[in-house]
Amino acid sequence: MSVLRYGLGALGVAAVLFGLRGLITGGVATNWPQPAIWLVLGVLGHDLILVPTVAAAGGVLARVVPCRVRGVVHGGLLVGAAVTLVALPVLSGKGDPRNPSLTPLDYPRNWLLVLGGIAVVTTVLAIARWFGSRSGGGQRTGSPGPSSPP
Amino acid sequence: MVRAGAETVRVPSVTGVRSPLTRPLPPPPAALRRGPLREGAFRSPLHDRELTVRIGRWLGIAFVTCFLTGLVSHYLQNPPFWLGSVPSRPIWGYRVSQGIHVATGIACVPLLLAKLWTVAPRLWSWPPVRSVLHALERLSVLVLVAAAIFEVVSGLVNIVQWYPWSFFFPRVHYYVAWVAIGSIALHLSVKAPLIAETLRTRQSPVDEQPLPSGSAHSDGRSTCDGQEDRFGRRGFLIAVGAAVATVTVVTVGQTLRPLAPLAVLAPRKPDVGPQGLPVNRTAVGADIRPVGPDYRLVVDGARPFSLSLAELRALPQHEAELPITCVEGWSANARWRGVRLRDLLDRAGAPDGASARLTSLEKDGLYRQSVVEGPHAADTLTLLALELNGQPLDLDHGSPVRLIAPNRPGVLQTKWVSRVDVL
Repeated sequence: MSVLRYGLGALGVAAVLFGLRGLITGGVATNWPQPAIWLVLGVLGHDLILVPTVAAAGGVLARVVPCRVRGVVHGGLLVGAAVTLVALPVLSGKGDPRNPSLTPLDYPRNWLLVLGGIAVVTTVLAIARWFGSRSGGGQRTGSPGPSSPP
Repeated sequence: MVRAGAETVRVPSVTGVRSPLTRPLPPPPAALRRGPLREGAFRSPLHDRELTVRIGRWLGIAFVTCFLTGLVSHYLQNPPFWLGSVPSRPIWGYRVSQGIHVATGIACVPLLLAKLWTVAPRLWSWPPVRSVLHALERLSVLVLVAAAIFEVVSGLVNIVQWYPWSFFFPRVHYYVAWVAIGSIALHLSVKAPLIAETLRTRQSPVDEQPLPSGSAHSDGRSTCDGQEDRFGRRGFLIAVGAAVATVTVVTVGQTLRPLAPLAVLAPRKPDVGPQGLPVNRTAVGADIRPVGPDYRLVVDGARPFSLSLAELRALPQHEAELPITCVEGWSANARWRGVRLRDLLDRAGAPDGASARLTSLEKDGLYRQSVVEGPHAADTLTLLALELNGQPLDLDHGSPVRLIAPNRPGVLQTKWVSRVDVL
């Protein structure tokens, strides 16, 4: 087992070194200071912008949204945020304007339609939750008692 | 990922004395422990080891899938000496492989963010570095996170042909993929005992255990402790699944034709473009103008010859239904009609199994030339097409003549062909 484990680790290190070597020796094709900057920007954007934003949004929602429907609301927002991130490139209007078959659709409209669909589904689920948990409350509550902390 | 690195990585020690790698380093002054470094700064019940393992498993499968299909695409475009010729069948080989590559990459957006959210407090663990080994482990995780984010974002941006950087995307995407997959392997190796322990002790069914008393939510803030409808682990998993499904449904129709009507956020529609087919590189983009009557297709081999457009049209014409499959993840079937490449090669006296190099009218560009290896050159479906869906080729589709072959990346389906060299 530990042979497998350390073998996997060694292979991993070899693959990382192969990739880094390719980037550094790639000349103008890889232009390594550029990917280095983008690699760092990605991490900073995630850790210093995206995560704090999500954490702050979660904090606000915890105060605003009733417990009963909070799960559904958070879930709907998560799906909407994922769709928005995926749609950012097509919403950006970048690409090749001389190519009419590239990004040919009305993306702002479509994006709003998708968000609207998510909002409708979320609302329906929230309403079902609201009344469902009123009548059949406590059915799904987990067994009480301490659970081992993670 | 919740446990300390020093506990998870055990270095065999013969003497029982701590090795220099694991010897504790002096902690930084406690006064620096502010903001996200504070104890209990992260309250969400979703920063949870079992969630990490569960989502990590899906993310790992997705990254390995992306890596393998990416290798297929890379080697098709840059055949290594040890690979030999790639078969020309199945017709849909590259279509499926590259469709999966891009669809899986898109699915990685919610998966990767969810995975990172479950371990978000680990970035702000205190003390930041406990030992040399811990520092190395954190460095390897940094490399993994950077490479993973880079691959997903650069791929997502590339499919709309947006290049906000000054490097050659395919090359960098390829090498960073090695960094990503290598650091995933290393990460699995480091975390193997912790993953095994988590799987052994997991609560079943997942979720909705009340948080232990004294935990993050019991501080008098608005909480939903012990209530079934808080956004718990089960809800999170369902939401992540729904996010993956949604981002897939609104994009995958760019290659999966039955879902085309739902592909409202895909960069391509498989039926939108000149003659009902999308175009990767336009004639304007390639600086190509319609050819005049002096156009000749030059075929060079043991018996060289050249053909005017009328002579090409007078040769036996064949039909093939083949997809254009772009590296950017869209694909669309079309009906092509033209001259078999193998007929031209035979006429030029090429030996059986010969390869050919096709040259475009383009003056420059990375894909001005492409090599058609033996299996593709011999395939009866490989055409120098003059017609698309019953009409003469549009200039954007490579008029007067373009290559169309089965199981081949779109960028290698050379357009505006002016020359065929037997190799």
